[in-house]
Amino acid sequence: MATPQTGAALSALSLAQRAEVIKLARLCRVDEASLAWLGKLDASLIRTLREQATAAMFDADRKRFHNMAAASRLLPIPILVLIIEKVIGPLICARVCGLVPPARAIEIAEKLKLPFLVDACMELDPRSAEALIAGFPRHLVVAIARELAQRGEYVTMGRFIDLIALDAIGPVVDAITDDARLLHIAFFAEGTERLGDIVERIAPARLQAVVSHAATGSAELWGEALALISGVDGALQQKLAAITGELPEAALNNIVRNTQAIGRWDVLLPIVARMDARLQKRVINLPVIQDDAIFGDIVRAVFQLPDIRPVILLLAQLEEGARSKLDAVARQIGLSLPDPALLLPLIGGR
Amino acid sequence: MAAPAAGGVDGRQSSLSALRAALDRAPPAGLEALEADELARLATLLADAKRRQKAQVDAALTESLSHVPMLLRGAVRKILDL
Repeated sequence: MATPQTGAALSALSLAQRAEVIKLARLCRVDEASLAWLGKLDASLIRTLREQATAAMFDADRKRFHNMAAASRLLPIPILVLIIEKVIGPLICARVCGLVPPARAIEIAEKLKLPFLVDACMELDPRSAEALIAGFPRHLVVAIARELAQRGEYVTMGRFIDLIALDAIGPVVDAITDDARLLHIAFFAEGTERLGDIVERIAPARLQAVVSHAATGSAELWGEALALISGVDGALQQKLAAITGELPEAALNNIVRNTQAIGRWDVLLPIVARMDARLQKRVINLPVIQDDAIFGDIVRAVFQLPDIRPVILLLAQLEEGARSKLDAVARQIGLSLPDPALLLPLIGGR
Repeated sequence: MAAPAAGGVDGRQSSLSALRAALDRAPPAGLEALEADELARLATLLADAKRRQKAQVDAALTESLSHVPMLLRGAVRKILDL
């Protein structure tokens, strides 16, 4: 079973690379840590490899199942359901159902026992599953989602939530009551647009609970939360950043320690930069941040960013003593942060 | 499956050919970042996965066949290319 728990070998990868390596490992049925060397490739390239490999695996058998799919149309559904459950099994069922007209496949799916249906969902060709899953009635989608989450099948669940109808997202989110599980699923969602769809449909109180849970949890869980927050667009990211900035200091301290542990200041700093001035000041001046090692990693992270300006302005919120310390650390590692005063005319100030 | 020869330009070419066979199409651009031995590992990984998947499907089909009356099995085998 693939889980988002990763070993040290994967910790050097970006969050998107890590998610893609885990998905590819899952497809190839190997341990994800054994593929850490794929971190040399962009996440989008690992994804393309996975999609091509999936196509090759599923297309190789496609012809074999066409006759089976055609034959299945001749049988009444109750008999077909009996044959599928007792004879065909979930793997073959998953292969054939993509070749059956979606309306009939959905009619059959509704009659199958839930554990069997979930087993079959885990073997579906993601390409042919699209029309099928989008057409599933909401009660079935929720039942499948709950069972997949219960089994810890987060990779399948990430793909599944990508395909379900938009109006089923809310009920699915409500059905998964464990905040950590929700983060695991979001971590494996295939598209950033869908990530936004998910976040938009989480009630404000639940959203706060999810962020708080991630902030006070393990470094891995915080990494997944970072992937979620950095993966959504504009206003939603600002909303999540604000929720994070308002967390109690103990939770923020844990965030700092966990961000340092997973080496992801390049992801957190732009998120903090999206907070309002009060929260920026609060977060960047946390005593726990004022540590030479953390300052060193922050400086290095700044130079990895495609746009350093928001973060340079964020660092300008540091109180005087802390700012001097940051500059001293930067000098020690041979770097020099640009003067924020020089950037202000470029962006019109704050 | 034996890994494709890893070293040198020939090794890279052989790995790319193995990768093309595993993917049934030209591999995506951008794999230059991988060393020759990593390219070979990738080709082996994907070829093994494809083979494992086929074996799994064959096993599931064979298992299903055991429920088909003996007289019909030959015909069904033919249909399913087993």
